Amino acid sequence: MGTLWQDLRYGFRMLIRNPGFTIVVVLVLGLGIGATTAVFSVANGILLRPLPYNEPDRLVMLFHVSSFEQAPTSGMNFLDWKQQNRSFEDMAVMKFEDTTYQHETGTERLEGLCVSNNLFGLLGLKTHVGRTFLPEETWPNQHYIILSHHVWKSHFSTDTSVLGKSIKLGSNDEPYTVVGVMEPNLRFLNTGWSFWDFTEVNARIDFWIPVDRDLPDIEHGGRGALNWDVVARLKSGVSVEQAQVEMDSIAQRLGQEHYADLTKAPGVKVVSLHSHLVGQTRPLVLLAAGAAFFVLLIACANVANLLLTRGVARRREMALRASLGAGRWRLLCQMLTESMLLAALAGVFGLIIAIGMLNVFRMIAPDTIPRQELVGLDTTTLGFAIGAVLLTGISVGLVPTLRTFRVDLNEALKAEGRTASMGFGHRRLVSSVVVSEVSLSLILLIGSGLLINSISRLLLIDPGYRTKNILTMKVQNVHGELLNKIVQKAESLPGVHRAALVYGLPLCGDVGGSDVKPKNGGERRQVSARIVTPGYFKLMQIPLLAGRNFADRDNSDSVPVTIINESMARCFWPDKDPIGKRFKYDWVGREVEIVGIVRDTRNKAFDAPPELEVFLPLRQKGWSSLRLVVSTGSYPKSMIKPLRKAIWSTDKNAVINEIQTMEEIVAGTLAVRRFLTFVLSVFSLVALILAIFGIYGLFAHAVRQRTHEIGVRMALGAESRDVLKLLLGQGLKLTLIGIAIGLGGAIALTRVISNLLYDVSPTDPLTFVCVSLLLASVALLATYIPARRAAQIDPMVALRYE
Amino acid sequence: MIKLQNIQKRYNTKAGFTYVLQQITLDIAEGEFVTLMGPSGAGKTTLLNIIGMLDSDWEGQYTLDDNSVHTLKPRQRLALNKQYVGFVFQNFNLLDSLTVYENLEAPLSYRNVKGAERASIVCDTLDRFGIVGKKDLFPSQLSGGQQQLVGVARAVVASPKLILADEPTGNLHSAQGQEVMELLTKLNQQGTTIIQVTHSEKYAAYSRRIINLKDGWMDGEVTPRQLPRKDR
Ligand SMILES: Nc1ncnc2c1ncn2[C@@H]1O[C@H](COP(=O)(O)OP(=O)(O)O)[C@@H](O)[C@H]1O
Ligand SMILES: [Mg+2]
Repeated sequence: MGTLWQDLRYGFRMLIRNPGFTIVVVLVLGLGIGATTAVFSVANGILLRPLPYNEPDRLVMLFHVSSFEQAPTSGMNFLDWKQQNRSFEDMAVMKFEDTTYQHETGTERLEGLCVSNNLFGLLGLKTHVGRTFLPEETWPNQHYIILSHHVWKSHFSTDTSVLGKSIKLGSNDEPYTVVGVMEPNLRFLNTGWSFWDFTEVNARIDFWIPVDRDLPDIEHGGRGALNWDVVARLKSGVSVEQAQVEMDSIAQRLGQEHYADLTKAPGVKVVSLHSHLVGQTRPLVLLAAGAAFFVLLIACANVANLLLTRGVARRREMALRASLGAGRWRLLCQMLTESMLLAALAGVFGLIIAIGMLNVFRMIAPDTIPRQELVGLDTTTLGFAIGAVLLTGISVGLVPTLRTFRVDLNEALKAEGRTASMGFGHRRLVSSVVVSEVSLSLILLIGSGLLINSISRLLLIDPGYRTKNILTMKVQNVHGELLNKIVQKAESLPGVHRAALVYGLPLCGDVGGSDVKPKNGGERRQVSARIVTPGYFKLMQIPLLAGRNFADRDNSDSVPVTIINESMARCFWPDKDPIGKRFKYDWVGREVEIVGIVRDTRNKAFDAPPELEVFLPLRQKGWSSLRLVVSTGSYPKSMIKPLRKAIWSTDKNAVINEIQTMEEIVAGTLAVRRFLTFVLSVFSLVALILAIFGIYGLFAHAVRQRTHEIGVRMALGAESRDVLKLLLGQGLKLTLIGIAIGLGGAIALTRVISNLLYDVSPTDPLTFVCVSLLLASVALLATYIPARRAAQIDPMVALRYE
Repeated sequence: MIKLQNIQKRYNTKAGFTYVLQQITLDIAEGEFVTLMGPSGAGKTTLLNIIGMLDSDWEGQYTLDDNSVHTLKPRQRLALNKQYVGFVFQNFNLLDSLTVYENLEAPLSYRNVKGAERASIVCDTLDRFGIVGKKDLFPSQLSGGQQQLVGVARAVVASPKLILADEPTGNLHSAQGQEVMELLTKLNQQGTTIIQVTHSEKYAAYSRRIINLKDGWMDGEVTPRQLPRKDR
């Protein structure tokens, strides 16, 4: 204990005596530790922490798998699954519902879920006050509702007398009896077709209402209406794989009974709830973790090297101590105490950096990344940080100390200034540090280069519709002819060029549809549906390729018509003119006649190819959750106020929200990619800066060690440029080796981000070449500065330099 | 060949200016063999570096053949150094990471001698100094005498007109020292001008002029015959 105290005191004295050295080490290591800790905290919050439900490991979701995608299932399928399975303890459904609530100050839109009664028990959720639904409390008899804590607080001032009372919801003022209020800060599942198809755990849910007891009866589309998300709890001891096997056989049986006309029966996919919720985020987080780890490695390399070069200077001190009888173990302890002290200081600084980084993360992380509210500094993260400190402290101290031991201590004592030039071994070590720093930062830079390249390509994509100067807003709770009035009113506003209503605006996730069986007997194909008013195509600049646009005469009294996109035409009527053809469309419930064909557009996502799509006229397929789109002059947002006024003057009950320009919507769909690009760019920039400083430091040291040699060479006739050439050549050689290794590593590693890339190969030669050139020139600059200084040294001074 | 007039060299130290050379006026003709002697710190190395044009921070006039060195810029002085001078150092100053062959090659590479010619000159020189067998060894694998042999060989490899040898025998046994001195004498006989620094009157006797320096001042000039006999 006494010796430890002594070592500590001595270590502190050394750190204080070399404040510059200490500060540099603490900054560099702190950056590395901070970055890794921040990323770990993100990974821990998003990926590692268990879901906030009872025994979350046994929770799964079940999806309907058709030939083209994974989707919710139909009520009828759900009932069959539930009856026939033996793997699950319980199985529940839920579906998004929204309604309006009229209070003194206005109409508010509420978002909630229609759930089966057993869902709460299945997840293990309890109410704050009141109770969950009883088995008999189902839809047709009487309307029941459970409120969220925040709705209870804002509209009922947490008054428990609301229990048992009825509140009026929707445009028809239907009465709902309140049976309970959920816990505050409840994180509930929500479903929805967002861009990344995330099911969010942290969605805002305002209310829950029970499902009809006879689930299938309220569905008109039969087995084709894929509306229900299925959550289930595995029996204990049953694995996801076992459940999957059973569900496969159930799906096959159902396929024979109900989908005989399909060449391939729809399947069922069992996914653990955890991986469903965070599965998409996992590669992103792991990628960030990899990047942070690289940063830490570079930081450690830098610091190890700083200690190493100081180790050379302290060789005599070590030798002296050894000659005074200190064993190697004692010397090692002494050196390790010093490096641990440094690492601990760096750890404190790193925590500050980590806190800063997490704050930035919370500010810029897109909402689509689930569970981000769980990200923060907790004990696990602190434990991780301490681990990182210990590890860096040991690795940073051990390497140079062991190297120092390799030198014969006797030699070191005897040696005079002449041996100040570094031994070959030392030079090799310095070289390998430079090489690894270059290669590590090259890999990171190439990764972010590829992502930046993808984003810039995505931004250049022509989605097939106009995105400039378009304002959109969700308009709900308006029905019938009033909708057309709103369009007319909007269009007559000065500043508005055109206006239209649409359900299924591009990139918003709204979409309807069902599968269609081709007349010629081919396989059924999923066809998405969007509902529009006639002005939509012109407004969005989607060209009509054949036939006619919708017109006001396409109303509920006339023949149901549709406009299809090119892909649909090509798929179903490859050799024929589709105009005038009819097909049965389950989503509408009857046959529709094709009157026009429009150009394909990228509606689902910028980077997804166009799907098979049909458009339906709003007058024939009524819909209550629509978006008003208007094209404007230069500044679309200036139209928000007049548009609101126009809508409310038409229908005072209208609910308006989600006001966005089309450009904002486009930016939103790129948010996750952008975020990741940002994160990776920051890390690669940090890595680059660390590497450059490292290379500079190493090189400056190496050059200083060679001062005398340079003096000799000048006496032999070397001019400045000969010296410059000599030193730069050495730097260039190391840089090139580093780049070669880095390129190899990048080829192996960029595959990890291949599915985040758009239109850019993971080994895109242009990116590889440009980034390599960039790094080479920066590294060369870092070697140029000390080399130039050395080349201009006075030969006399150099010759006398020891 | 060398004409020094009132050469002064001073350093700026905390205590003010310290002059390490004062009013050095000296003529050395082509083909001479001159020794600089004097106690440690007298300024011998400093003077040698000035003559060798490694040092360009001094006052006075220095004419080398037709070149007024004092009017030249440091770069031009280095170019002149390349043209005239070969250095031999007390502690050899061989380049550790280069072989004997490569050490000899270095001065030629700085004089833009082409590859084939370079190789033949290096081989000639190795041969002349009898160190062909050592050409692939590193300096650390040689004895002190052998190292200085390489040092002299390196100084002459580019055929300099002037050799400046700063205590070339200082770190050598007497047998080795003698060998180096004989080498220098031979070079002098072939026409090379030589200025050496030594503390040994025995080695000074190989030259024809001895210039004494003391505290930066010239302290008389003698010929070897005037030296006390005991050292001869
Ligand atoms: N950079 C310097 N700053 C101040 N004084 C110096 C410096 N270099 C050399 N000197 C002084 O110059 C004097 C002459 O040095 P030097 O020519 O090396 O002597 P010698 O070679 O005769 O032993 C010495 O007194 C030395 O202390
Ligand atoms: Mg000297």
